[in-house]
Amino acid sequence: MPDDLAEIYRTTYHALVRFLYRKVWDAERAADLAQEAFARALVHRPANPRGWLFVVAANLARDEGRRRLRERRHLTLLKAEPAATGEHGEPEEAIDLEARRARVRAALEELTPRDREVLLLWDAGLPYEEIAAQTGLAPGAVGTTLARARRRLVEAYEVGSEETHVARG
Amino acid sequence: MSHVDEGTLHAYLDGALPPAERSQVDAHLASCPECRERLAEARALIARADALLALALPAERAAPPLHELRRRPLWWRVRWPIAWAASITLAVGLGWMLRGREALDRRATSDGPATRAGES
Repeated sequence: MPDDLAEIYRTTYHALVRFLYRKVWDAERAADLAQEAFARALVHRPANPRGWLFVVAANLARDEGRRRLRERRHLTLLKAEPAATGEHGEPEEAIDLEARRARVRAALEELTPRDREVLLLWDAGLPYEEIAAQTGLAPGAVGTTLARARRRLVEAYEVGSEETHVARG
Repeated sequence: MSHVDEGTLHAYLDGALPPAERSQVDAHLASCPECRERLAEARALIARADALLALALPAERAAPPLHELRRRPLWWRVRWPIAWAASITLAVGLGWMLRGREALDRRATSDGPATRAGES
């Protein structure tokens, strides 16, 4: 059994970090939460570790989101928004990458929570059956949901790009 | 077979269709240029969405050894039992204190009759 979890750790750790990163948008925090999910799995020894890990990770990210929202409310009272990137002489390419990442994030946030969850779980490598089990969708509905999520992601990203260009021009 | 819907096309491209359904789709695609075109569109959409998601990747750092996580979460494992034990201790302690005081009170009020009983 422990070997089983060790194997899942080897194959799934980075996918879990990636999944969490798209929820908390902080690489360090995503790694912390992923490690915490595995630490809990070591204690609980779930029957289906991979599915269990993603459920726990999603819950941890949600708690984290709530906590951060509270913190931000306090912080905005104390200080202004940090300066936008690009004012500290970073190379053009890094700014561009950062801007595109921000647009992907904004586009993801335009999806419905369920569409987003299905897309992120698929991208983390979960098969349709596990995505269905985890989101409460009928297995036959995963493809339809993914199709819609992908289309909306691309559309929202492109609308976001146009807006940025208009604002710049 | 009627035209293949978009969800099925995505499941087909994701390799998620059961074999029987997969061969049905294959058969239909072989004879339907319209669905082949939609298949190409779906493939392009998947590639585009994957490329966008790939822009939002965390810097990949090596995973710490699993056994280190086992050591680290000791306080995770004990924090709820400790919180639980602490609240029980508090409750019992409080109850004991209150009962002690109540007993004192009772002794104070029952002092009178007890002395009287001793007198007779």
